[in-house]
Amino acid sequence: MLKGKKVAVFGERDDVSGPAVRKCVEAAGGEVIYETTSCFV
Amino acid sequence: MINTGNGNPVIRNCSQCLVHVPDLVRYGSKPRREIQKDTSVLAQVAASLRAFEEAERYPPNQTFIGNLTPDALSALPRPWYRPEALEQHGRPTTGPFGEIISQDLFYAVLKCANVLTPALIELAAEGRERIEPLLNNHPVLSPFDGLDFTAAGSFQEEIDNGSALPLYSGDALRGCVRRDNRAEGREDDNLDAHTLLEALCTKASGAIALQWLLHREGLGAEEIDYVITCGEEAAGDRYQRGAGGMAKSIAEMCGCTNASGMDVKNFCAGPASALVTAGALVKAGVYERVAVVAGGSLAKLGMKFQAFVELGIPILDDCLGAMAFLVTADDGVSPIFHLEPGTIGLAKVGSSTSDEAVYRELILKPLQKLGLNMTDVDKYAPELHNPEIMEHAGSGDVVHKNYRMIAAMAVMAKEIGKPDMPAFMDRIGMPGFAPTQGHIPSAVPFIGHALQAMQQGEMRRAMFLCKASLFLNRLTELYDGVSFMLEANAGART
Amino acid sequence: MIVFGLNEPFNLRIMATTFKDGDPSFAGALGGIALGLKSYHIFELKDEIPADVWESEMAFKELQTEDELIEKICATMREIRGD
Repeated sequence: MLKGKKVAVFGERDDVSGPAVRKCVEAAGGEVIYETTSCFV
Repeated sequence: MINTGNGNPVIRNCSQCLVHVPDLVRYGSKPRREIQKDTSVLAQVAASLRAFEEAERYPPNQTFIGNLTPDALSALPRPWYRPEALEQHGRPTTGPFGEIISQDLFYAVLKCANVLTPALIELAAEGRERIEPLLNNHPVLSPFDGLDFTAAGSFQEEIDNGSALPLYSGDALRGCVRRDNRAEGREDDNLDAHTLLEALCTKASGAIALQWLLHREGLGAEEIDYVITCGEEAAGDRYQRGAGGMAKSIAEMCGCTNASGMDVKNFCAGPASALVTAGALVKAGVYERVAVVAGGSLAKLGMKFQAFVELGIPILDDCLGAMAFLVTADDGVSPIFHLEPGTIGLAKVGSSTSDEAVYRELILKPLQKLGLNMTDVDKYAPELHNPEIMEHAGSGDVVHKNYRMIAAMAVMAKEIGKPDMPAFMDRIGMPGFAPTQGHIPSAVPFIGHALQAMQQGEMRRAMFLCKASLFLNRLTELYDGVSFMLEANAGART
Repeated sequence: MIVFGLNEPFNLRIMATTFKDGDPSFAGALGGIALGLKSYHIFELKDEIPADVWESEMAFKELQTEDELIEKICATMREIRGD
């Protein structure tokens, strides 16, 4: 499902961070074209 | 006296103050940006501000200054901002750890924080009768000097042309903050009125905290050897934006004539990093008495204001935080600050962005070094953001999330089972009670409560866990974490 | 497509709706612009991620997030996608 898909990632520091989501998406063959990690504090 | 301190230093005293500045909320980063987009937002902000009495009696604020324990706060039904909740106890401005400072008193201190000619801060003569006695009659802050006043007419034009920002108390113009209008300052965006107000707010609130620390300890200012600040401001001009100098400017303002100082920067983990540095300097014998000072953050005022305006709730992120801690050699009574090798938790670069790896380093490794289990710690203090501020803005209860993380680590360490997580969290946890002031809520507001409980023999160990969103500097993906442990002194326990 | 790591259902709903149908408040860059993008939460994609990567990046997160919250997040995402 992720293979070959262009993916925008929205992470959050105290939930799941952008880099953690990115690593998962890339390992499943997706291409991350935008990534951000929010910090609400 | 039994000394089990291993040559470790102690955190001997603290001060924890709040500065209620509703009319500076408009200069917080978020409100300021929204007001620039739509000027009608200013009226919405103004209509949602709290009176001093409401901020003063607000249970989380009373917890911050020590009149309520975190346990007592957690027993109070929410919402805490309701009039009924405010009525539940008196409205003491001062508590065991410090004071809730009013805006007019703060403006007086802000004026004293100015050292430039022409002055960066002017106070209007029209407010003199109100402001002057607040400072001159103050039992702790009256030593600050430099308070003077000038007719509002003399700076009105600068406000009108935008080179100075007005300082209000409600509708009354109390003064202004100027940009650096000297020849070398005029072209520098880092020296505009707003940026200088940020730095001056940190300096003035930090000086309030240090003055309170000296007062509580009964220590002469000249007896402080070194001051370390840990705020999130970036003072400096175009060639050295953020270069520091905050600590020494605060030491100067408080009359610490024998001290020097430096600024430690580590985002929200700044106070923890500064305390570790202070502790190491004391343990190594370099300095005897080191004060760690955290002034407040203007930028974070009103960070969540939109949710409050929308929901018809008073803007609750309307206070600057101000804290100071005194680190000295073991006095046989105060809580031991563990600094044996390996006992300070740190998020190693090699842990990357993996939460599990980071939390193993932050919690399990230091405990192993001390020969302890997670369940041997009475209380864990993570970032202590007031949930009432966070939740309304859809940011979730950060404190709760941190306790889930801590409890999950206890499951990973096979000390508790997954079903035991809620009960474990109840035992080792507390509600958040600090305003969203970045480094201010970062675990350290529990130090006052821990010092008190440990000296009264009610608590053995507390672990402090601080997190820092380093990635916000756009230079790395990493975040940082720092943890440290305080333990009741054998002298106090017996 | 969009993949979220945010866990607050309130924020997820606004953001996922915006990427699909445009900004519901008709403010901001996507006001009135329906991109038709599908949004997922990373918790929904566990079966898609190699087990070793999931173990190192996500297992600890999964443990610390309440089962009910994970279920609520997944239900919110399904609802907005119209699955």
